[in-house]
Amino acid sequence: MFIRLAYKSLLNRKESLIISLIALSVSIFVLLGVEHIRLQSKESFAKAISGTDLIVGARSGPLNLLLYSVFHIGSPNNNLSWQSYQEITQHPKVKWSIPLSIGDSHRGYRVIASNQDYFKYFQYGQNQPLQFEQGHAYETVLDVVLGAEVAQRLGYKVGDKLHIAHGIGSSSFHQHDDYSFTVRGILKATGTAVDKSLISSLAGIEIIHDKQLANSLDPSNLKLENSNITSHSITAFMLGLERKIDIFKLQRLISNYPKEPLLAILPGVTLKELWHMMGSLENILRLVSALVLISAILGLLALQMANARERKQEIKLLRVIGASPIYIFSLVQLETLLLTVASMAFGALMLFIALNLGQNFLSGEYGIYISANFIGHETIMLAAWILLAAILAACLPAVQAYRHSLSALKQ
Amino acid sequence: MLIHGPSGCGKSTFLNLLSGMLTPQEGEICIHGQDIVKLSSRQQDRFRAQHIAYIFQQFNLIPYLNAIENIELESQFSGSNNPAGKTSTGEMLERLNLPNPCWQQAVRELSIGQQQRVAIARALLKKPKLLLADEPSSALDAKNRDDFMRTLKSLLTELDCSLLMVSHDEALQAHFENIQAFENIVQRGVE
Repeated sequence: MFIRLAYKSLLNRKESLIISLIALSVSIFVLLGVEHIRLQSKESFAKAISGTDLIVGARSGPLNLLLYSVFHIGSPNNNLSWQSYQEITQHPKVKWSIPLSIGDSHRGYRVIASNQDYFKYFQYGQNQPLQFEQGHAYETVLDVVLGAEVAQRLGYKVGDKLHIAHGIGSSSFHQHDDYSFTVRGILKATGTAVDKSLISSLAGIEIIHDKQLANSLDPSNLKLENSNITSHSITAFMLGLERKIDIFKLQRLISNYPKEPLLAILPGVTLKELWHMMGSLENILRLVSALVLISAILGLLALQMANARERKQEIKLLRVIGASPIYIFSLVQLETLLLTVASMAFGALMLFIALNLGQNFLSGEYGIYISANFIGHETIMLAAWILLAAILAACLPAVQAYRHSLSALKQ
Repeated sequence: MLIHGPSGCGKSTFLNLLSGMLTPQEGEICIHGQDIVKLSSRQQDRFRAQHIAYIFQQFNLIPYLNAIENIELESQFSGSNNPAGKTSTGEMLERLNLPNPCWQQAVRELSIGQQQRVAIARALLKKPKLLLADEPSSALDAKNRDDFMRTLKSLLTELDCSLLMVSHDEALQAHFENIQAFENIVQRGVE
């Protein structure tokens, strides 16, 4: 009966309360959303690469190198020569290497040119290797392997043919139409930038950039192992070492490489740097969303206090039929609580819808992979805090009503 | 008992004193041998909830609750949640000529006469010893007023409950045995 009374009383004032409800819902949506995106992007960043000891590229900023080599964001401003790559990887402490050549695209998705070692050594998450959903790694110069999302979005299957455009962007002017690539394999979803990439052979990329080379190609013998096409330059490469202890030694060696200026980064360290940089942004976001929440709760309070006047009659009625002042106090508290819980439900629903709609945008534009399931330890804690804040805030109108109810009968 | 007097002479104030909603500056008010002035405000609340029922000029119904909810709310406060509550609520409403379809409507959607009947049902379901009524029939025409008084009286007899009504309507006097003019009471008090 108590809850029914609170519910009907709220319903009785629904016109003004709906605005508060919306304001509160929106602020809870923002708060939960920011928190979820923050946690998810942290997780998504952290799992983007694993097992790689060093990433080497032409000298630029470490963050820049990390962003384009691992997250496929931004573009490299310089390449490094094939020769340097060869020399460094022949160092006895190097266990494996993955060359990367970045700069082409297919319908808005990045093309990463590499060799077969990419499928053998690249790891993400907790040392998880890439796995094939269908097909296998490329065998010929004009084969390509698709990330899970590329295949799903563009509807490609193993055996389909596609063209690769020079440059990045879905409407590149210059299409390399002379040769079409064949889909040879499709990778399982990883939740990293790999899902949004096409992986081609280094030779394949050389061909589409070099007309002469392309003309001299023998269409009947495209097998990779028979091809004598060599790259002149690559964008970056990943290194795995025999022993972790040599990482710094090798990093120093590469940084002092005499033939060209190179940069070697430890992905974990640079990721932390990246995260640290985003940290202040993230704190500002949290602050803003907390302020939004506070203003919404204040708005709710203002409304409850303003309503108190028109509710004097209602409180008096309740008192006359025997409600105690404590009952009135609890009634106002319960109303605020019901409103907050309803707002949380609405906010959560909005967030769920928004995440489902925004997932692709975020992963496409920022390389952040967000799951739509935002209910976790942190969000439940956050919800508890919101509830606590609402209960504390509701004390104000509740005390007001309590004090009013003490004198209500004497009027 | 009927107390009559012109509007504004203090009849309602008198009832409010009796019900403990107003506290007198001096003197005592005894109901069933209990001086309610001496009770704490919480005890007053309880005493009022358990022993006194009243019907006011305004019916004191919560406008957005329906008839049944209004009655349940009150019985919750008076702590008389008898298990037969549901059926007796229905019976009472039907005796007061309030048909079932109205029960689930918010009382503000009911007519004045219907609201009044809900208020009476609520008052009587407490099985009070004393019913205070402040101009309960002011909204009714002559015929309905007489019907209403007859129903009320037969219910009161059943419940063994005394009625103290104040009104300026002299026509009601026909229904009462003990009739006092408010001025006379005041006069006696002053003397």
